[in-house]
Amino acid sequence: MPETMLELKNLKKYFYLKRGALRREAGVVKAIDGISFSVEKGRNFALVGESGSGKTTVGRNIVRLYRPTEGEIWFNGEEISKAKGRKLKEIRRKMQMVFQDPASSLNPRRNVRSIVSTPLDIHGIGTRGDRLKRVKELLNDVELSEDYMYRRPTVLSGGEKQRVAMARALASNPILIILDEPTSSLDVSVQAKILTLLEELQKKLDLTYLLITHELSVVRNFTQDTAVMYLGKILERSTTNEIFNNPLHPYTKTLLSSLPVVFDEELALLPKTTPLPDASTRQLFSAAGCRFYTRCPECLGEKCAAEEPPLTEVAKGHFVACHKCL
Amino acid sequence: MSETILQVKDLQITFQVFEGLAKVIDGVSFELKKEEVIALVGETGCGKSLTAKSILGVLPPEAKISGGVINYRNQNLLKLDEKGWRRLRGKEIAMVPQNPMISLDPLLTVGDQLIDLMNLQDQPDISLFSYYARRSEITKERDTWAKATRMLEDVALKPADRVMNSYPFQISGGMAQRVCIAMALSGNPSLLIADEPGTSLDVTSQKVILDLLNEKIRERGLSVIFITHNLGVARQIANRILIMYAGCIAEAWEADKIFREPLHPYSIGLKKAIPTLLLTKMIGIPGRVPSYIDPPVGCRFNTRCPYAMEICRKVKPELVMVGDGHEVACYLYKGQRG
Amino acid sequence: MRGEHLEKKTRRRITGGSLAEELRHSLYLFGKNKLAVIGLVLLIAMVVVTIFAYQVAPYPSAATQTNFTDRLRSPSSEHLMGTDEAGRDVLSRIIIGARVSLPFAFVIVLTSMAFGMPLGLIAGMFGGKLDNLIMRLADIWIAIPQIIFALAIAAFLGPSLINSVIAIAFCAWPWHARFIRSEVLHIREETYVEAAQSIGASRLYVAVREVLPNAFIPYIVKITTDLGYAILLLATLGFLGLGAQPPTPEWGTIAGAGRTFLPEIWWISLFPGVAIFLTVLAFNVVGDGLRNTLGVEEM
Repeated sequence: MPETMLELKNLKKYFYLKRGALRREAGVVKAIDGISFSVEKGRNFALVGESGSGKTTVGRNIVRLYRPTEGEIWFNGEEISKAKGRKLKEIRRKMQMVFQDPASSLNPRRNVRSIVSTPLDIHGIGTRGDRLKRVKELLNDVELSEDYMYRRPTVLSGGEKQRVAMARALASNPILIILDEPTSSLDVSVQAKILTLLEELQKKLDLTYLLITHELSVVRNFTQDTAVMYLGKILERSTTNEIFNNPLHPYTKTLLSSLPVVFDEELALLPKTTPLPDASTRQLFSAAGCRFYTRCPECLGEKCAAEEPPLTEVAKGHFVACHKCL
Repeated sequence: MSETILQVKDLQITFQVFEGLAKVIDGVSFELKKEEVIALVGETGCGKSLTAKSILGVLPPEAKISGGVINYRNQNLLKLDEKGWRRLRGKEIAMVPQNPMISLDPLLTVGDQLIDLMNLQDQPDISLFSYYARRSEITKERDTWAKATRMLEDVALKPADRVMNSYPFQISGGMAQRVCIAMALSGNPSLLIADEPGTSLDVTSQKVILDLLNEKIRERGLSVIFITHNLGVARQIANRILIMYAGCIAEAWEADKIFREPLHPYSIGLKKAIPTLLLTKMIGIPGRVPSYIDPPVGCRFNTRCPYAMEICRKVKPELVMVGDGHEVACYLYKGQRG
Repeated sequence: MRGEHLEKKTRRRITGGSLAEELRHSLYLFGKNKLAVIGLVLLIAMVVVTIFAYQVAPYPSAATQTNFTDRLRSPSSEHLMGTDEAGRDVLSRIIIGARVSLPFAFVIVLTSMAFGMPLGLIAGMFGGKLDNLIMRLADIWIAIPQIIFALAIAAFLGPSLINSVIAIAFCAWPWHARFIRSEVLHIREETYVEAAQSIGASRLYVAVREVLPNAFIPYIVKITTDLGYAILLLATLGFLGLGAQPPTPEWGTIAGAGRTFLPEIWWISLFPGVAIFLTVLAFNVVGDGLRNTLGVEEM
């Protein structure tokens, strides 16, 4: 029976630019502009997008590193977007994040034991002896030997660093783990090991993952549901199978066709679209039309420029925001 | 077409570090034919970037070439002095760097950088002082502004004038990458070294850049050494792929064949680890990359190889031909001594 | 940014990773800078001399005992640096004077740290109005040139060694505050700080366990050069008569007292000056060497 672990309702996060001595508002970056999706327990969810899509901001909003401008975040049955103080701390025990680039997410001045013990220290779990035991347990879970305990991150390899980051995330026994580009900085062979480890941990500890990434081939192998983001909006959302076998939105098709694949058999699975010009880095715009209008190879012209297509269900469980697909 | 333009034989590069002498590159040999595109593929730290840099003579100061030969058009590059290198770099051999945003001078406009580059290319021995004194004259004489603008249009940067007057922080990553490609091509080189172009970009931008590179390579008949850690990219762009591991070449073959039937245990391991759209199970390679200070005796992969034999731990296998253009460095296959 | 890991390939040290290993590695890197090593040797020598001043000095009583028959002798084999206006051996006075300059320079810097560091930390961590308040306060302080400020305070409090120490420390805290604040602002953006925050760390935890250890590394470099500057300021005040008072053998005071006899009797003012010069130089080159050593580690 599917149990909704995490649900986002129309989440928005705007960053206001303030200029001048009087800090007047000069403009706004709408990093996330109305995101809704839900993550079911046991079903891994992928949030896919390129740089500037806002996917990282979504992750940070969920763990409340930012406070949402609007919208609701439901976690484990509770609305958490406005939680503060002790309540927020409790929530944070159950929801952890593994950050992109393990090199910078580990404090170079602390050793592995101290890093992994951070959640235990912050939440005051157990005595000093208990914590030492727990750290050893956690290192064991992520397949690092005890010798690693007193080493500093600078002497660890990328894969080892990521394991330490995972051990830290597991320390407070969370039920949801948000993985922000967990393997983007890793080599292929190390990536496979980390993903295998994540799968094993999922089975062993009954975890659910929210995967934020741009690597579609990882998404294909690791998740059950996927949402594609572009400039702060979700353009398509469905099960992973559907997205890959039957992509509808032109952006999704473009993403898939840009994948550099290794095997010829994979080439047959890719949709065919015409290439696009580079994305400009401008995220401040006031256009009311489709976000993808400036780059869409299948654009319908005026309608797409004037009216933003709403996210509609065009097949069972398959949502698209595109005029052409209706 | 089958004339060899570059020959690397038994290259050895060492690094002096705190812990001692690191023997990073240990006997790398390969050939590049005219108008051929080869890809040096490998994971972090395998030495692919270093190999490429040695061909351009831009190794870091702690690195030393301790052995081997690099022949470019029958000229031994390792015997060149600084003057000789300056005649070669940019005009014959050029490089497209990895991260375009940090490869461009943030204090000069794109146009200024291109113009300086193109002006100085023809006069490698001019002193900087006299150059700057006569810069506007030289630019007018050689019509460099127009040439530079044309270079930018050639890499599909429009409107070229606007880009010429922009600073690097005003253009996107993809545009900067194109500028770097334009810079590399401006001297009309015969050999191009592309160091992970596009890795710092989004996947859609990367595809556009790779398509552009492909177009230019074919247009100008360039010979290319393409460095990447992305096997898919190597497959799409290269004729021939060389897989490197820990400073040695493990296997080399045609791009469309090597991943169908890899022979070297490392290549087989890589193939099993790649995440594909075919939902094959991803399996990693156990162990970790060896240290270069104290590398394993014999084959450097022996600590992680499921088929390691006695001899693998004693003598390093040579890269030998085992079938039409297919080279492997492994004792499992005939052609090895001992 | 994707691909960044590919270039910033930190030359990962393959051995250990414990503190001992790191120190050894740092020493190795430091040793590569010849000038810094010379400076360090000089400093160590000075510390040794300071501790054993009374044993090393040829005339240990020169600190206090006068001997008017021997006054104003030029440098000779008996008095390598000559004698001063009260007949005391200048060399001995300088050696004993190290016992004043060096320890009190430490006191000055430590006092400034005690005020400047917490204020900078608070300003950086809290931001907003508190940050504004502290920084504007610091701005006011910095607006007055340090030497003149110290002079004024010392004159106000009355000339003495202790008062000059107070005066200098009083003027120096904003530099520390600003420095720490800028480091804190930079480190706050690091991912490991975000990670701690996402786990639920309080501001105090982040400040003490994540930010401070990292801020300290460049801070150490600053402190080293500060020590040199403190000695200089102390000597300046002494020279002008507002610092240590005779007969205390503070280097600046000795040089100041010898001022009236210049230029024929040059040795009383010159040698303390050389001592000051060498000490400050030593601190500066060691600081530079440290900056390169630790800077490499930061990468």
